[in-house]
Amino acid sequence: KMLPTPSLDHFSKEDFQNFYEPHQDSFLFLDSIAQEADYLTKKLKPKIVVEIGPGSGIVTTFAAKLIGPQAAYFCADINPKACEATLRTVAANLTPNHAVEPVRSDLLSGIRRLKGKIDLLLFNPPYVPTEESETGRQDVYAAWAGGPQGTDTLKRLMEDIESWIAPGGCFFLIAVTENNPQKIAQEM
Amino acid sequence: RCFVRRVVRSPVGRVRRMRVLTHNFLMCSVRGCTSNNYPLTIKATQVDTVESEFNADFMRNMIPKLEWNALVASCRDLGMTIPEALPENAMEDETFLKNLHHVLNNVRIQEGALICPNCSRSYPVSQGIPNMLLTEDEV
Repeated sequence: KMLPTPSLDHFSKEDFQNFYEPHQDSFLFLDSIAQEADYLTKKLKPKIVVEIGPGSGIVTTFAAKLIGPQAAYFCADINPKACEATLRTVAANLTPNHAVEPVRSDLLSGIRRLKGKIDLLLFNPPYVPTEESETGRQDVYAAWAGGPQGTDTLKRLMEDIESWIAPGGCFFLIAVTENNPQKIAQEM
Repeated sequence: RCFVRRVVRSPVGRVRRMRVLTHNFLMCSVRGCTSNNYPLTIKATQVDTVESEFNADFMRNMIPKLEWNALVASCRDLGMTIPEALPENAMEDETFLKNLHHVLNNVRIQEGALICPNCSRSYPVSQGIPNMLLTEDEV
């Protein structure tokens, strides 16, 4: 069963100056979710799904379409334009019956009460190696600026990652070779 | 307190706004504010009511995750009432579940603020999105 890529037709070129326009990494993320469809819908059956940095909202929208309206979907983004964009993508692609809720937050700090309750955590982090000065922003830069090794944001999340995931829960993380995914996996 | 009730059917209304469900998971995270920081008091200036399909599975999935006292408080802030305690047979009582569905899913906070009862820090809700970002001094 092929799940269609969520439509982004409601966005203009100008919109994508404000939040992350889906690129190869985003579509890789969708592919990974699609590949794990059986695991997600038949084994994991998450009730609380959280995406950090939804950007356009494409990944959460796709996950919600796959998993269904019996789960709640929270999206934490530091960029207010991304929070709004997520709402628009959800409205354009899903029925009003999916509970998708954006929250403006720095990583998961704004939804602390979800600690230990997240069944499925999704994160396509900023991973581009940049100057330190390009990090810490709340606009579209936040989507890709990762500091000198490209791993600043990811490292911050990994500090206490295990406290966020529910027992038996799952974390989908996108990493590029430069970030040393083997090492990340080991550290988990 | 200005409390607007309106069933939203227009396409514009299809852009979602903050559910009462979400409020149940929000707390104050200012450094040093570690007690009496939940639930946040809701001071809403615009609240809309939408329609959505009742899904019993969703309700049964959410109930164990909710902090019921916080839900009672949020309803009070919004001029609604729900039972003070979760009924014994809640999971099977469809009338109860449908009323709870209305509260969690259909009542949307569009504009206002969520205020910490301990430190009075105000977290704005604008265009239906709660802003939980702290400033550098608060972290």
